[in-house]
Amino acid sequence: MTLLLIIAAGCIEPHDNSSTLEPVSANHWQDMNNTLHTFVSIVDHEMDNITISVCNAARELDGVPIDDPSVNLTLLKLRRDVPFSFDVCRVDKNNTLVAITGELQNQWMVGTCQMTHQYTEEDFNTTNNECIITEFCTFQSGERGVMIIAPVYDVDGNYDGTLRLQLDVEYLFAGLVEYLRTEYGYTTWVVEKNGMKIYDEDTVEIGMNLTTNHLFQTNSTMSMVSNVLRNKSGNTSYIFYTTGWSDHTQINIVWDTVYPGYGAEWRIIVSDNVVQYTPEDRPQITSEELKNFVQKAYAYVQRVGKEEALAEFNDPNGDFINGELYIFAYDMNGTLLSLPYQPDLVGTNLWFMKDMSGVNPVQRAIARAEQGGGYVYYLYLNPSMDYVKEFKLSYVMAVDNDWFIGSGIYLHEVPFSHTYNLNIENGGKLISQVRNMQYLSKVENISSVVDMVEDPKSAVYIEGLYPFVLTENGTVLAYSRNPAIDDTNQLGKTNSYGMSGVREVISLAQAGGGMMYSLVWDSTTQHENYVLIYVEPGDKSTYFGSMLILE
Amino acid sequence: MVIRYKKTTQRQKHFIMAIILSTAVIIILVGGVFTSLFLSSYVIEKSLEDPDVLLHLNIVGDDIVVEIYGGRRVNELVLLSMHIEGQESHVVIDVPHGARDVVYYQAASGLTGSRMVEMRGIFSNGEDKLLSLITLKFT
Repeated sequence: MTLLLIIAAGCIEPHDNSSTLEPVSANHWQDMNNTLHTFVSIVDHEMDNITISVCNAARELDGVPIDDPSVNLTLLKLRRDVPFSFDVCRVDKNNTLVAITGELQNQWMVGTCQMTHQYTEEDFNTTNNECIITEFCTFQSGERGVMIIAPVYDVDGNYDGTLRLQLDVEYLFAGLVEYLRTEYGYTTWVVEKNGMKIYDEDTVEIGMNLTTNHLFQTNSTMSMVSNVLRNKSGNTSYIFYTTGWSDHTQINIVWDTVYPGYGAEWRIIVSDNVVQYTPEDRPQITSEELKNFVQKAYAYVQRVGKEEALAEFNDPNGDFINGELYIFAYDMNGTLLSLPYQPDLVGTNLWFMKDMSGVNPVQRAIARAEQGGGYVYYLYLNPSMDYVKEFKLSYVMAVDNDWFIGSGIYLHEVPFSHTYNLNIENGGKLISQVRNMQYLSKVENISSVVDMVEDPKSAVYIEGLYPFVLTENGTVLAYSRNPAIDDTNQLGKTNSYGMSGVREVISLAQAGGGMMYSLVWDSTTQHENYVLIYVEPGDKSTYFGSMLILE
Repeated sequence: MVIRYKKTTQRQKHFIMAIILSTAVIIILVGGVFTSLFLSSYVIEKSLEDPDVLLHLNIVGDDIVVEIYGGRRVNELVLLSMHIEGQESHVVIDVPHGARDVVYYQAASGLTGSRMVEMRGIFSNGEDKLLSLITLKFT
């Protein structure tokens, strides 16, 4: 991310140094290839499962009238079975949206929205009824990914439109890359055959076309890109920036191709350009020092005004940079106003930026700022530690109703800060469990789901996860980890950082749902635990969630 | 060269006068409305941009914490009066001399959604001034 910014500003020119390529040992290639083959088979397997789920759901919809209530249930079930999906929708043969998941959002589009990706019966004749997978695109919600599309037929077997699943490719690979890094010490990036990068650990690079982006215009990188796009598999070395963008290094990659569905060809690249965390004896800045730093910046804004304050916050030699501590500022729509280490990102909207767990740091910070301010958690690159990802505690303050400022500290001592491994299975289970509650509430009703939450023999039970049901006014209807608080209002309950988990959960659910971190008191262990929470609305006044303890 | 004057009747004169007078009345009324709107917003803005007391509000659980950062009249501040949109009364609280923050305990209890929060300061000379006007999202 930093590299992109610096380069965009012209501070870094693409650097050609291909003559310094060192030979790579056969053992290293062999090790990388072994890893690649394991990794590719996992990706293949995941994508197979997803496309099979979409095809099966399409067959369930065959012959079912578009206005039948079972259509919505089939869409909800598919969304539950594919946790890496955003939304699932049914589109008629005229390419008009006729049903979509999403309790609070999207419903306004039903019956009026013409799909931008338009397909006809002829398109599916050429695919031999295989799912079509679109190129990487931006959805109406603003999220990015690919769409998996299957044909649906009426009772007479005539083409009757499509079933479409919006797949969150970024989240799919984010889970996998953690596995790759933890198990094998490598990282990955994924590119479509047209050169579009659809996954990179640096989320800002996603959506970049390698054939045109000027970062890849040196002889060494152009040769690598050409090699990767022309050949379905292979290995090569090239000179590129280190993750911290401070130096150049030789990067070795191996790649293979996955064919996730008709029309799609993804090159899966395994790279040895991995930042390794080196433990250092660093003094931990306290949360009080952090808060004081942000309060000082707030007073400064009030004294000198927005323009002058932002100029100072963006000045790398200014008074508001102190090692790890620096002031960031955003408007309430997610547009970056100050970030001294990455100045070229200023003006960019980062609303959809995600960390590897699927948490949106900017959205969480805005939600906190809208409460006036306070602490918020997320994973982020640490610029003073070679951009290694660390668990971050930020303190934000709303300046007015339009923008906020904040700063953060990296929690080096939190046990999972450097060994964080939310594997694809756990993340998927967390989402599936909540979506299953949502599905069951439509099949039966919300009361039935409330009863199921605390029953270890029920359909929603998953070992190691702690589901809950909340009302819009903060009353806990059921909480499997601590049934003693059932029917109590928990809006005012705070952790040691003054964060009200329940207020944040409600805020997230009302925004459509998603992932968040929190620190919650555990009556079983009698101490606070870091947790990852996934939440979605059950209806307009009831929210379903589940929690995974991270320690 | 012959110069001809068009004769204006008394009736025409009255008609023109009536039009001029009505136009003037309309202009005065519209101007008055705009001036009062401008002045009221100016008073609010001026009150906020030139802080007698610089403060910041945030929600902590069920409490609303008012942090006080100084300001040219901070030493004269004796009371804070908070009004939350949708609630009937203002809640007035003493401000101890030199206090860095003041807590409205349970002020956010049971509150959800977004609400405008108005914070006024009452100074030692009895003057009452708007110090902050912000929308807080309780959930």
